[in-house]
Amino acid sequence: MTIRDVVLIALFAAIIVAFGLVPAIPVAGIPVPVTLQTLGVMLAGAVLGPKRGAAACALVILLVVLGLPVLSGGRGGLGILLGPSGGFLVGFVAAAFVIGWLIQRFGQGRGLGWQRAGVNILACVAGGIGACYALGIPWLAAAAGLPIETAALGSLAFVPGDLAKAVVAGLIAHGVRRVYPIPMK
Amino acid sequence: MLAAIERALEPLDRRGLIDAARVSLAVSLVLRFVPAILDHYREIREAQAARGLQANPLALVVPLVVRTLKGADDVAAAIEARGFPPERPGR
Repeated sequence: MTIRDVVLIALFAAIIVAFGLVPAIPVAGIPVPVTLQTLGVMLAGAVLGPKRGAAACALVILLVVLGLPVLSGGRGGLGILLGPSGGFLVGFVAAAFVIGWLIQRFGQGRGLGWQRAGVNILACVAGGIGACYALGIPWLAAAAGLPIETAALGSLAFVPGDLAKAVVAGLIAHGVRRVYPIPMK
Repeated sequence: MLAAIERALEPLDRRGLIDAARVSLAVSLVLRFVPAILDHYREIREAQAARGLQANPLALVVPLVVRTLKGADDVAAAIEARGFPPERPGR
């Protein structure tokens, strides 16, 4: 891992943190202020690739463990990681890895622009929702003492927002790669 | 603070799992980059507002990420020019 990789990982971790601070961008039609941190996670995976994307998310978790207020709303500390929503945090790492791997595997070929953008979006949906919830929901059920169906049902409220974010993240990753391609690792 | 992180990660470093110097470097870089990214965000937003554009997440984040990626090369060169990572005996 070169110094450049370390810098890129740190930069994307900083983007994830910054998305927790930016006042919510008004998205047309959705009145709910969506936290943008999962958008940062999806971008890290989609732009940097599986290993560096996962490392960027792991770095954010390390900052949380150190007690810095890096999560949206100024939250942070070891208690968050061990609390009911900690699984989603750990799921970030898995999400970034899955997104990066899928795009590396299926999105590198030729194909038309909209096809590659579509691969990006699908990867963000699969990783950002599939992988993240696969870890988050069982963790929530175990930590809060809920039956797993209830935990899954409660998480359903976040799916529309996450879907919108996955589409936006896929389009952004596509736009970034068109302007400034970097090899994925 | 960095010395403390490096110290705390020392046992993992000795087993060759992670590189404590690089992890603590990354932590310090994040802390330094967050305000820089917020500044970038504000600049891009202002530039677009000056051209009469509405806030559009796509048009806002693409330049933000591209700028950040471009800055990474300069930062990496600057770090290497200052002699990082330090040579360690026994490696």
